[in-house]
Amino acid sequence: MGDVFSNLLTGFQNALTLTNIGFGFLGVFIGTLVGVIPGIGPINAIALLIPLSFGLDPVTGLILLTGVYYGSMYGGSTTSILVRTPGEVASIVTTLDGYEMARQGRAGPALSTAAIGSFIAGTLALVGLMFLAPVIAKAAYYFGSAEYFLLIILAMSMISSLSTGSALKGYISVFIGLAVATVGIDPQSGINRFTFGITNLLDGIDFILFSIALFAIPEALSNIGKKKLETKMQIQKIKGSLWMNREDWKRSIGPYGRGSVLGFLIGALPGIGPSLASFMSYAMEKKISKHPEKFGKGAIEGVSGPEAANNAGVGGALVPLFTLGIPGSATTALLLYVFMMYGLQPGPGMFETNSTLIWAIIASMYVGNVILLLLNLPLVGLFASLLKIPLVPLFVGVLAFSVLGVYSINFNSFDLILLFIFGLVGYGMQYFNIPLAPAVMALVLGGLMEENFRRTMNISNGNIFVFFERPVSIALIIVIVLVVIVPGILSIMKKRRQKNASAEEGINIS
Amino acid sequence: MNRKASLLWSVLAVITLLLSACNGGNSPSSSNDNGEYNAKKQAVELVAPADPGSGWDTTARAIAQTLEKEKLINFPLQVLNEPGATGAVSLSQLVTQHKGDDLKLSITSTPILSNYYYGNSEYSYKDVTMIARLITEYYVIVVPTDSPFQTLDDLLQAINDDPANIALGAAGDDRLPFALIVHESGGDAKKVKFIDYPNGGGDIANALLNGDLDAGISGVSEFRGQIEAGNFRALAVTSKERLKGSVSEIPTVIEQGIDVEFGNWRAIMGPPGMSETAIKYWEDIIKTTLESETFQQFAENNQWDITYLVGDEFQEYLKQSDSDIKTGLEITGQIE
Repeated sequence: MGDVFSNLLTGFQNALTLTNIGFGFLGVFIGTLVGVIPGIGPINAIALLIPLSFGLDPVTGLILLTGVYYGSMYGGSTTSILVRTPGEVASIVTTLDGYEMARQGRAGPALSTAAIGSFIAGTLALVGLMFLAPVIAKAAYYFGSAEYFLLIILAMSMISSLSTGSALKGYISVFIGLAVATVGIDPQSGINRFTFGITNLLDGIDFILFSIALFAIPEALSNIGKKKLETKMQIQKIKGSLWMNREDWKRSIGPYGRGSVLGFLIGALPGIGPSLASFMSYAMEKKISKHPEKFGKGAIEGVSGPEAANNAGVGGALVPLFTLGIPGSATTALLLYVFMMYGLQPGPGMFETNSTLIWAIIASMYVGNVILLLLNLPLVGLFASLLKIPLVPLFVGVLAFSVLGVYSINFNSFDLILLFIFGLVGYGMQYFNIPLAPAVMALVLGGLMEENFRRTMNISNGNIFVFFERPVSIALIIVIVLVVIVPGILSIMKKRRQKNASAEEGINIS
Repeated sequence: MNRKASLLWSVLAVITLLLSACNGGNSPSSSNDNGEYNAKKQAVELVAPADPGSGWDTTARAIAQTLEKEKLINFPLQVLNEPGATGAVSLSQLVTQHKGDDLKLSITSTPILSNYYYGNSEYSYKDVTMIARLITEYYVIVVPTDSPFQTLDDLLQAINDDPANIALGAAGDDRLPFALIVHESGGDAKKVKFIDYPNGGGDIANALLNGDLDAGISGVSEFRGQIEAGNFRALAVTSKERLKGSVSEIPTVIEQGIDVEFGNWRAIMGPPGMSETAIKYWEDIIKTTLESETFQQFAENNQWDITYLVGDEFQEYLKQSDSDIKTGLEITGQIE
């Protein structure tokens, strides 16, 4: 323990030089901007900044680049809340209650709770990274493809929490997502599925593209296409304070804590963590809430929890990178590359071999989180006032940025055709009141689920009992049974009891 | 659709058109009459046909970085990521939209050959201007430290005895060198239980640590950290001679009595119809780049062998590589 503190102290000495604070600020500032613009993710921004970073020393360069990474998680929620346009996978669930809050005139509290939750979770995750990294990294040894598959099944079973209303429509949405997930080349066998001979479809459908198409385009079209001419200059109302009131705080504290822990733990799982963290947090908050019916209608918990979880997920994702040298996501893979370009050998024991550098980065992240909070809270007012722009020009702007953002993913104009095709699909779904979020989440999870199931079956030579052989997989199966099957049985029993009761009543009356 | 919505769609259509114009409509010429390359000092694009952080991207950025640091060119050069279908998307754009464009370059490697055989790409190395081979990265075969396999022979023996019992992790074409080794040692490469990890080394390392895999194969740089830390035991490298540095203790495949050498080369290419001036210019500049101290440092950090090759010799080499890949795909049963 003492070690941790003396290391951290040295880290702060390195991080708190004027240059490092300056570049740290630049990093988180760029990160925030990048997070706000849909489509352009941290990975693009880091790639652009790499040449600049090589002119700096390793500590300064890496402080800049990690700043972009976690800074982007702060910005990601902004467009989700204001105009229902998720900038990255982590902020998809924020559209559900965040945008509802904005429509009820509560954009300010939604943005505030996102910023504050991000700060709390980002800081807690760093504490976790310092003290728990070696333990968490070891835990990852117990997660093989069988456990990954079960974890994804657990997540799939929670997808229904993303929709309100008709269960049938929820399933339709899930199946649309799963169908889209099957497009592309199957890496294990090399067989092309539903690609119609189009090279551009070989890699499947990008989920950022799909989510922008599904969320932003229909919302823009329906806002612009409203019949009455007066709506052209209509603006959204802003009610009450920009800040969170006492009740908002009371309702957010729990989700902050739970989101932080969950996000950190799930984020540490290489390969699947970062995309799951915020979604799992949303599902959990809805499950344990006393008023699950308020979710999807502007419940602040639906913003606080997921936003905390995705920032804690960044801290989690750094665990396998720093302790095992294994990148858990595309962005951390890029950071790993930067380490190598500086001549640092990433790998197990990076904490020891590059101790000065790692601790300086950790210290800079504490500083960066404070800067982000100070930067983002005043921006709440500014961003919320964007809603004073009349609806038509506002959503034309959203469309323009969506097109630019999607184009910037691959610099490929074919993606724009896909954007408009799926935009129409989304418009149709919205028209028939089919929820959108389950489709996007099913696309994200569908590919992972199939990949890990195939791998498990391949390794075990098709033995399905492999899922019952290791302690973690058995534990996951128990959780799935408790979460999915038991509540199902209970509700059937409850219905039957009510039926019996009403039947008895019927007898009494007669 | 009402009037406003249709207005909106036309605005979007215009944006789409503008963007695709930026993408496709470069003015192809850039060598003027004096035969000087890029006399107007226009920006040159160097495409990495994969995501940032990937092998191709690393190579492209190392080149761009060296050009800038050593001040080898007097015009701007920008690295552009065009990911998709292991390079097939970018290749198709290069061939169809940039014919004769002297200002467009791209990094490429063995998938340009295999994608063609898989039927995932209409184009192969003959459809572009292959300028120079840059580097070669070799493969290493590893097992977890607590594995019973001490030598490559132990592993091959076990695969021969019961192929269904040994799970071997490889990303895409990385299975080819291992298939060739199995084939050369008298085994049946079709029976090897390859488990695919499309994201490559990191995921394979993870699967070796969590017990999913019995062995794995990937580029040396991907596993070097784990080998040094004592988590993995390296059984063999696929280079002709032993590698330098911390991995010099790993025996080659050839040393262990199996005559297989297999390198994953990376090269720089231009679109079809590139001018002679441009080809000559880049052959020379690339030579200076690779010889510079900056690049040598990059190469050392990444375990790359600098293997510069141009002209007829390069064409000859490509022909050989093409036929090796085809053989590899045939013996693994991936193509008929």
